Amino acid sequence: MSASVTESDPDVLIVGAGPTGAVAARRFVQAGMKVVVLEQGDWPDYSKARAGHPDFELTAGRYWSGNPNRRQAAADYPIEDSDSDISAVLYNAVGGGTVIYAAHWQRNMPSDFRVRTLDGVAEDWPLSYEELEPYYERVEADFGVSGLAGDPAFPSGKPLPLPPAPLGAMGRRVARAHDRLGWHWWPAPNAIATRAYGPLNACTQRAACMWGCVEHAKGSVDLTHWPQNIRAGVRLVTGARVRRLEINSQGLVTGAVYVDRNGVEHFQRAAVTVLGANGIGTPRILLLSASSRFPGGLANSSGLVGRRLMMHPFGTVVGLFDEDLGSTHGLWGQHIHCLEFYETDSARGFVRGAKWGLQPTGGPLSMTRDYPWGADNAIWERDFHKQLRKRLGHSAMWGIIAEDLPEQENRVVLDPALKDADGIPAPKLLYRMSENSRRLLQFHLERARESLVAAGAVETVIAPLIRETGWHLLGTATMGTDRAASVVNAWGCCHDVPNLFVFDGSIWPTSSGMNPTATIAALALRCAEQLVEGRRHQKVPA
Amino acid sequence: MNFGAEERSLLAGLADILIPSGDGLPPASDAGVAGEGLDQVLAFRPDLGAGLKKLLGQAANRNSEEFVAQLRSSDPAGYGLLTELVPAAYFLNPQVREKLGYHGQGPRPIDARTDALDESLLQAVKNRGPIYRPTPK
Repeated sequence: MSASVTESDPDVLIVGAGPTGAVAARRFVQAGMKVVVLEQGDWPDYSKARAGHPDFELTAGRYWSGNPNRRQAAADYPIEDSDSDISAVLYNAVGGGTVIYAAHWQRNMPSDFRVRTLDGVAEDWPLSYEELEPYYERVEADFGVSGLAGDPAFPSGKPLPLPPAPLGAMGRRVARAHDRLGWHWWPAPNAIATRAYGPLNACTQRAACMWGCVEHAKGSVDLTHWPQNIRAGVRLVTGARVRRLEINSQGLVTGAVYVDRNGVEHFQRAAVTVLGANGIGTPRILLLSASSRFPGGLANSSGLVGRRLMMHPFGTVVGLFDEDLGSTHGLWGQHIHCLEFYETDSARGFVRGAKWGLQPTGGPLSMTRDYPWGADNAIWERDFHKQLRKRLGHSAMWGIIAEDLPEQENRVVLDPALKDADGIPAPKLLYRMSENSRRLLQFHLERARESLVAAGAVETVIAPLIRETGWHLLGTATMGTDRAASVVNAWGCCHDVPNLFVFDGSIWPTSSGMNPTATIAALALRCAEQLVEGRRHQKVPA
Repeated sequence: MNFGAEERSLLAGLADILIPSGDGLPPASDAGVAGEGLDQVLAFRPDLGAGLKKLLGQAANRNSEEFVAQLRSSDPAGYGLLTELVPAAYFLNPQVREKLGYHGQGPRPIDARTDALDESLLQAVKNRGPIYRPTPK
């Protein structure tokens, strides 16, 4: 394997074709850089998107399942999660997590970047809301975000590209209730096209967003970015699973060793390598790349690679209403959001907060499942039909994203025994929900119940923590200015390896209480822009 | 994967514990859960077949009610499989769907006139002013 990089090699190698890789690749190719992307998955197969067919709810749980241990596709690696309170949810394909995300497009609030200063916990981010705002605006145009400007939960800003989704009967009910309670609500932002926009068609409210959007209305990057990136010259290699990164004698990354779908090993050289493999995949690769020079894992002199895993404990409160709300349909997606209790109030006995998103509940099979109802709220046996009719079309759900603070012992490690199909050690999660998160979630579940009762719910069903909801994988290669207490700097450059970058959610110092894709995308753009601007001075292998 | 008459009979017994008759709807067995319903489910989800075969082997010569209770308390994977497969087969039955008034996840396009936001609803939220903490200077 040659340690030198030649002119024919790419300027940038990106690992992962999810939102991070998509946004970064677009910026690099726009700047005239030669870009290669390695993605272990394939393109999503929308012929398996079955909304509108009788088997939709049944087949959704297979191909579109977010749990790789359940999906077991050729592209997936297993995740050992028996010592974790939450199972990780991710998607190994072109588009990454955006293929199955609900597309709740939430910017972080200004306080999310200043948790140490404002609340005395964790760390401040090495950037502010104001520094990230212009990047939010640019990625919102690219993803086709719908919503309404003027939300008093955020600094005022430019209008979003598309009008908000309909409130629907449930949204109107809850909005009026919140006005009576004096609580915040606002038409929710979604990366869902409410009318035709670029490559996206208009949403038809099938409540199928997470299980294959048949309309191509959701802003997933397999639609919004990759076809255009490839036309612009990006080389995307699918079925390419990275085994490790290689380092030369100067301590610079020379590229990645990857295994193709036939088990054949390849080496991809590049001047610069960017990881965008999510909060589990990225630390896995860094730990797999341990060497005599980096015995604890690549870029891990701080010892923080894999540590501080944050997954947003997620609970739901569902209200049952006498009125037919038509809640088999809608955006899944969110119709309104509430940030009334997002900011810290020390009188509550915990710090930080949560965002609520109001969603429909889907078809009849969904009425029987743990998500969103909770494992302890099943409706089997004697009252099955009575409960089914009370739920179907008559229910609205608050989904609650609880901020998780960084804990050193919550982490991703390499499992000593479990391996993927290519014999590469699998990641293992060690994660326990903290007391702060527990109190926070309990408080929010109770307030959300009050919300739905005020809206006229005749009954409420609470799922205090749903296990298979680890959609948001954050914090495992944290950014900061102190190289002893962080893995990368404010632009994603590894302190220990100057031509290795991490742009994904791994670098978040704290998790916020928001769905993260908006900030992941904006941050990736900001980091990519810095790399482009500094490329003349970028250290690369000789 | 094929299932014989005895296995289907066992499945029907288990399915009727989960979904008995009620509210004008038939029990699972009458809705064909162990017959055509099972065949349809396995055509869409062949991955469920091996687990079901194993589970029905365990259910042989057992009281259906007790077996379901045991699964619920001590075999989450088996219980999860049964509670996925049985309602899936049940809701594939066109008569059941009709009686529920459920016609699938067909399109409901956004109508710019009827779905337009009544912005007067937002006035109270606006009147309460900003609720975020600005970046400290």
